[in-house]
Amino acid sequence: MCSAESLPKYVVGDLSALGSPDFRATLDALAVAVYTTDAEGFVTYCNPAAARLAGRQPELGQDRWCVSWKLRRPDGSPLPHDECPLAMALKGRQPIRGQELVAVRPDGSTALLLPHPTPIFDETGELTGAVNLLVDITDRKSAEQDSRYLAAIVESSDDAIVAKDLNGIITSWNKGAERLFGYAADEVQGKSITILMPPGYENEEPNILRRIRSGERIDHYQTTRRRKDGSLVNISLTVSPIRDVSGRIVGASKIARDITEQRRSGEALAARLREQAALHRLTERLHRAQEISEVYEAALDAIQGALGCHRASILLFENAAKMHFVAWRGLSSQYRDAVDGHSPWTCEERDPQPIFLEDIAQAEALTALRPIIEAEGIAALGFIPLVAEGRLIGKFMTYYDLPHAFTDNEIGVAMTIARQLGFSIQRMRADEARRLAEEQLRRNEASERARAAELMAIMEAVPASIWIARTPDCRVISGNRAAYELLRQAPDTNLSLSAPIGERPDDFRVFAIGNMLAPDELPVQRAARGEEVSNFEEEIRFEDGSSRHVFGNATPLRDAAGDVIGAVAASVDITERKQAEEALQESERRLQIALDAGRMGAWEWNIGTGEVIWSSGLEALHHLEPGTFGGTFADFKRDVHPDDLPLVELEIAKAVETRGDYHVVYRIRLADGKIRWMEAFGQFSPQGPAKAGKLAGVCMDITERKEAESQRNLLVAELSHRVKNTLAIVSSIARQSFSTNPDFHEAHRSFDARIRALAQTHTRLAEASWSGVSLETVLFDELAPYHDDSRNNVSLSGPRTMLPPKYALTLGMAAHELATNAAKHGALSVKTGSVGIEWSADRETDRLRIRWSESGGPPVLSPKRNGFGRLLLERVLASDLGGEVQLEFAPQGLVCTIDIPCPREASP
Amino acid sequence: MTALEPCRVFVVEDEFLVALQIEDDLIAAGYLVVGPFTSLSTSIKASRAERFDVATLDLNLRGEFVYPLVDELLERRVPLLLLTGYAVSDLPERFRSLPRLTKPFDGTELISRIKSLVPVA
Repeated sequence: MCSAESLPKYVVGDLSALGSPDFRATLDALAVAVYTTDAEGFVTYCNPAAARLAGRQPELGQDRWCVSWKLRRPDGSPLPHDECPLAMALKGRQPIRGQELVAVRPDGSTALLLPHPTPIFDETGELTGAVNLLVDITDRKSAEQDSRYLAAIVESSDDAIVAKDLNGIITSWNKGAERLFGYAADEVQGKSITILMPPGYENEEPNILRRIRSGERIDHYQTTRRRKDGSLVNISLTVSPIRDVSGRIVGASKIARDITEQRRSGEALAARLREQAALHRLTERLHRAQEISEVYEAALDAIQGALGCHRASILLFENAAKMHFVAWRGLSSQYRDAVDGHSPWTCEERDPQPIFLEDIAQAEALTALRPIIEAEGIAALGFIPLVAEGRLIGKFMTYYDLPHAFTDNEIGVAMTIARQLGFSIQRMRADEARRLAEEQLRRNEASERARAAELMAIMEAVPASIWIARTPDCRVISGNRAAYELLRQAPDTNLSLSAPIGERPDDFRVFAIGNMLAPDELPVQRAARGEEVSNFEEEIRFEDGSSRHVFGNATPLRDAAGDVIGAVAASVDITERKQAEEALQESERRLQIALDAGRMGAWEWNIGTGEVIWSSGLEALHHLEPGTFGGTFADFKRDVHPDDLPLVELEIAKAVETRGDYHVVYRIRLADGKIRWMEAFGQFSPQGPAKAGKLAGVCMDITERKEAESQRNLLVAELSHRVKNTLAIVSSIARQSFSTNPDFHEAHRSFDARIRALAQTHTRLAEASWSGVSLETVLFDELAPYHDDSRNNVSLSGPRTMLPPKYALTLGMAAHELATNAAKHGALSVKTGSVGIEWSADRETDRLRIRWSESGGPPVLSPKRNGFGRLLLERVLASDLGGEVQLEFAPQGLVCTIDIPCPREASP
Repeated sequence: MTALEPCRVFVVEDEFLVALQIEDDLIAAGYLVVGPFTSLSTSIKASRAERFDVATLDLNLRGEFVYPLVDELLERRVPLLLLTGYAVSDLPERFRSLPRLTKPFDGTELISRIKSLVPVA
């Protein structure tokens, strides 16, 4: 190797000498790599050694600065060509030395070079080019580095690197070995490696040496060695044979690494793995759990597996009051019974934190429970709260037989399990609730379906017609069987009158109160617009002239939001009822007419409620304004005459008891005190077994009839009285006639005449209905047989005076006696005689004076005896009429004066 | 009443001819007739003034019924005989059971009824 500085300056300076073939041949032959450039750095010459070193033949005049393919600095970073040492030398116009670089050949191999670029100047000092000499230092450099590096590596390694011979004697001991085993190098070099062997490991070394001798390498053999201080250290051992230049094994190098930490962290890692596996299994099992018991089992397994305790339990709040064991492992029943319900938290606790008692013997809490816990052999406890949806739902417990330090990791795992467990319990509860809800829903759905089926069956079975519109526009209306039958439509056809022509029924029309209804006036359609249509009554008229009357209700159908989505109407056929109603109305009308005409009223007494209903006609009979009757039985009784009330009540009781007819005649007393006679007819009608029934009937005013009846009774009585009286009189007349006259024939004739006269007056009275007869008639009747119109032998004069029957009969008899006497003995016994009768009423004395005077008759003689005639005249008149009779037997004729009280018009 | 003193009969009868017959019959049978009275007012007045043992009463005295007198005599416990043409149903309830003789009647019947009312001692 030579350096550029040693090159003679002139040689270098005379670059043109390179053109000389001898010089060139010399350079070409050199084993040293040389190339030259011009002042611009373009390669002008490259000898074969340089081309070999570069691994390429540079293009002269093209390659610049360097002949190598690529350049790197010794640290491996790329070195651009224009920054290479030759370029720097040209630019700096001075040689560069000592800068190593790496040339990269096109085949990828490298060579470590030490270039020696040197600028070249001509005589004038003008830079004309440069020459570079490249020294390949690759081999020298790596050998140097190897030994230096190895020493450094060995010294600086953390691992203990020990070399020993085949007898196990330590030959080399690095710093790492000093640190690991505690011995300094000079303490152990030359000593047997066995000083590191702890008891029990004595056989290891011969074994290792045997394997080394056979050229085997031992990799990562884990074992334990003893430090100088006697403590044990876990090491990983790699032992390799050491060979000399000839390849003979002369010893072993041994690299030991402290793996105590590694082992500890390995154990920790294993623990982590176990925990993770336990947590993973928990997650999986919780996920698959179908029953809450599976959740508990999985959780207990996880607690035991991940937290390394062989006893554990889960407790949950029951009814938010007390925590109870729901699952456990390794706990006696006595223990569970003793601590059941104990909890560091109430269910109200917010954000409860786990509690760990590392040593029960030292724990200040739990004084009361300590004996129980200790009796169970528990030395440490963990309370881990179970929280779901922010609420404390329970806890799980870990129990340790020995005092136990809870690491952060354990606490974290415990919390993770608690979270999972809490979540799962909540999920199971939610699932349970959902399952119950679903079951309920299924049951509801089933019952809903059953109800729908029932409803459908009911709908078809009811005798009512039902129409359903499922849209508010009612374009389609369906119905139940009764509806189709009523409307005489085929089943399942559209019943809507709003349906398009051809689809809608056209053989009936609907009327209400005689007016035809438009489709939108129909109850269903009104209801479909949201109206409640109650008690509609309509008539459906068919083309054949028949019609049906229906009565019903229509109501809107609404969805859950309350919007009308259709309507349903139900109606019953009331045609028959309607006809019956009309017939009833007609009959009621007729009855009313009859009642009015007959002065009758209708009444109804509801025995159960005591309510009494009167028709207005009956109110009229009671002289009440329409609607003013009080409406109770007491109101009725008040009007009944007190004397008749017992009878009325008796008859009512009888009708109710026998459930028979009621008939009674009674008097009522009107408000003005007038008495009216009423006759009531009624009938009991039961109203079902539970009710008291009612009594209903009519009542008529029979006062007139009653009066007529009583009049008739009076008349009959009067008639009987008169007839019998008359007979008594006749009997008396007979006796008088026959007892006073010894001449039987004469007596008989007189009696006949008297009876005829009496009968005649009776006839007159009967003709006038016994109201009375005029005095003139009575007198004339008696005188008529003797009256001769041509002679005017009878004259009657006086004011018209009506005589009551008694007067008529008595005066008739008196007139008869006078007339008979006159005809037999007096004025009328001769043709020249006449009778004049005059009468007058004296208003002042209230007397009627009748004067009978005869004239022209035979001379008057006083009567030989007081005959019956005179008796009659004097005594009967006096007695019966209170009259005074004077008989004057004047010579020119008899004069009889009758003075009686003026008769009253009234009948006797 | 003694054998020397005839039984006194109070007669009320407005029909003179009937009264005449009653009078005749009673007198013939040995009774003493008080009356006859023909109106209600005179007969009531007389009944209070006169002394008598029994009464025969016509019901209808010129349109007036003799009932007030009947009541009075019943109160005085005077035996009485109603003489009437009325049927029993025409009589007020309370008088229907009283001794009664329907007109026209036979004289012997009258006497026997009077006798039954006032038995001779």
